Amino acid sequence: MLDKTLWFRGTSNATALATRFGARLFEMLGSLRAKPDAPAPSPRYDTVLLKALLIHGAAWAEAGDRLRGIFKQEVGGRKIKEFIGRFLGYGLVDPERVLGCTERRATLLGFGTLTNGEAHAFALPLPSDLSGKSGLRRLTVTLAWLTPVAAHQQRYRKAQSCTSLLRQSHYATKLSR
Amino acid sequence: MNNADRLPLLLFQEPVPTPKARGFGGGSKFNPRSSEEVAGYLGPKLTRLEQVLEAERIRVQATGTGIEPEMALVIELATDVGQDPVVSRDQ
Repeated sequence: MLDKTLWFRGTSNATALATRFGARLFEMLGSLRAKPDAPAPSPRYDTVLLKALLIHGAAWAEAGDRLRGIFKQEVGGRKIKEFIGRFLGYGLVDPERVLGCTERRATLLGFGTLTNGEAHAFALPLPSDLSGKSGLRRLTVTLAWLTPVAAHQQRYRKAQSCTSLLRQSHYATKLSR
Repeated sequence: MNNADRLPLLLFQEPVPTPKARGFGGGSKFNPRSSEEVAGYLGPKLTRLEQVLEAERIRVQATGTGIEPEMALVIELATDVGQDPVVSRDQ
């Protein structure tokens, strides 16, 4: 009978946990495709969607606050984020944030293929219930991409991508490459 | 949270092609150095490299015995040198 619990930390443990979470996400993507009327992503986007979903729910939380308190005496601004990132990566993953939506939180998937110089705008209509009401809302955008590799370059990629938020008649996320 | 409490993820509509936004980040503008500057910091290194190579002037041997792998250049010949002696030191 197992009567002891030992706690470990490290990348070996994290790899196993992340792989398991990835498998659950993979099943979730499959269930999206099973819906007859859904414009679900083709399996060719599974890899990049899993990359995005694995980290989308991650947060630095309390550990980030602590490190921020330490680093702010030395550095500031974007440098602090870089420093904290080196210790915590994307942070603690919360699977529930990406395995489904709740009545108070919607997670949307967008995907596509870009060639050099192209951009895609994804429209995010605000629910009418939120229209005209002031209150705290949070928008988290996670971008993942796959690029052809450039084996002769240290950074090993041929392209990069970025997002920007457009304020029009609605919010739109624009992905550029 | 139970599976039953979860609502399925939503999907964006098809994205609309749009002009590319100006990116941020990336490196600063590349400012090439003059040949004098490059010669200034690379020259001594090249001189040293040349000295090292001169000190270990090329030796040809048929077997790999006793040579350091870092110093070896293996040349595989398609034919017997004795039969086709066109190799010239000047080339």
